[in-house]
Amino acid sequence: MTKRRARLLAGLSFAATLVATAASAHEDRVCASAPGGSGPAQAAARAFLDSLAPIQRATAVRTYNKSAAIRWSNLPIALAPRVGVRLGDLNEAQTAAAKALLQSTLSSCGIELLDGVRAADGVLKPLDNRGIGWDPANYFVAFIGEPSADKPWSLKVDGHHIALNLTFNAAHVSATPLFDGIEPVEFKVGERAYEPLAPQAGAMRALATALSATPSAKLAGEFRDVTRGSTPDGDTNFPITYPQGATGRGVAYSALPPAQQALVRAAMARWVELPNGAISKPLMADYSTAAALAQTYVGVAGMADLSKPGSYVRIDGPRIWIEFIVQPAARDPAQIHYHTIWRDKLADYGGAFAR
Amino acid sequence: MRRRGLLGLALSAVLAPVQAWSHAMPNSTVVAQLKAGGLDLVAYLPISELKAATDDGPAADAGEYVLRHVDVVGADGRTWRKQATAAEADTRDGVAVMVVSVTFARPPDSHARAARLRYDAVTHRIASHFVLVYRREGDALVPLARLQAPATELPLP
Repeated sequence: MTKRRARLLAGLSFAATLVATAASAHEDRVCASAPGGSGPAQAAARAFLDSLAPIQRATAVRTYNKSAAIRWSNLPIALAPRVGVRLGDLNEAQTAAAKALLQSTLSSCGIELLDGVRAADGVLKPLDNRGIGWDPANYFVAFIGEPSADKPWSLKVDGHHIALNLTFNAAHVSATPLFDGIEPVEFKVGERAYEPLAPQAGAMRALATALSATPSAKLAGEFRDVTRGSTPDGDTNFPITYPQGATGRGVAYSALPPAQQALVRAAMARWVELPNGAISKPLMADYSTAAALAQTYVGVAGMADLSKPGSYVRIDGPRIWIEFIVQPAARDPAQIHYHTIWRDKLADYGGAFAR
Repeated sequence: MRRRGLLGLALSAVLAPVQAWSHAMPNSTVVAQLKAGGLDLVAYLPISELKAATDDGPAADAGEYVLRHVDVVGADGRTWRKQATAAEADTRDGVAVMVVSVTFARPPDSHARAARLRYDAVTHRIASHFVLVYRREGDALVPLARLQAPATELPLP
């Protein structure tokens, strides 16, 4: 890695002060959160907007409506242009304000994931022969609606392999849709080793392995991507339809032994812990009630060790919907990369725009 | 020829946004048009997905393959007679597709009202694949449905 690239990555990193999480230690990790919720998030959002030049502010804030809310993608920016201000265009003070905004809306685990996904784009950048925009600078912050103490608004953080949609003052606490993915799966930048999705992949691998002897967990068909993701035009299929009833959804949580049930809850937590605790705690509490878990299913396809493309795990509850898929790597089909999505059947975009 | 030209132009607009993948999987598109005595259908199947669904089956069999995975069923439960009239490879916005045309003939003593289209080409095997179904009205394509397993059918307007 060149010194220039190392400086760029260090300058862009929001989690430079965080201790790197070892892949083997993620089971016991604690995701710390700064004060969050509507008030601190709104204050941090205002401070960030105040740090911007007028033209940047105009770019950052979009009208609160469905067409703006559903505009996000997992594709590189040349294939799916983003709205908002580009993180790579921020000066030092603006970057600090953006960091404070993320700390009031994400947990330390969420910030670390965002940093890792962007660092992976730094690895891909020299390989971007098609000019599709693999670059840690190509991540955008936008507000759907003016950040307010009482009116609905959303924070959108969007770039290749990450799309965060955090909505405040809406009908429901919401951190979804949340897409994350990674390529390469493991890499080093300087002396630091990264495996940004290790907690999520590890949880899903443990779950799929435990269910490998449970035929009812096997989903019909083959999977080549998440099924409830976005198109290059955004989340144009929203509102999303989901499987109903008990067929085609895998094995019921209630049919699993306690040890496997614990793996399901742990896997759910690896996504729900990414937003700030003020958001994640009520969501996890709702997803984990006895009534909710009694209606939760787990489905798997492909290889239980998630080593091959087509390996797939899905958690499907009355609200929660998580998909994890292994795909061939874009830069080298002999390698793999991950796509995942967390949706909330009730509370995507805060429960707005569903009709 | 004029019809194919118009359809091609219209589909270029439809397919462009959904086929500009860098590493995700392109979807299929189906365009249906009711006509006197039946229905014309054109299916656009990405060859990469077609191969995945057929274990690399030869593209030359695409017409027969689609015929096995499409039906129109009238309100009286009878299926309409079907025939693949063309199957050819093409490229749409950089994505290699098979374009398969199917003609359906309605039984003479039945009507089109409440008929249903069943279609599960590729989706019968690739659970993450989806099919955008449109109705052709002149030069316009009107979205009808997004089919993804387990959904395989929709009412024809």
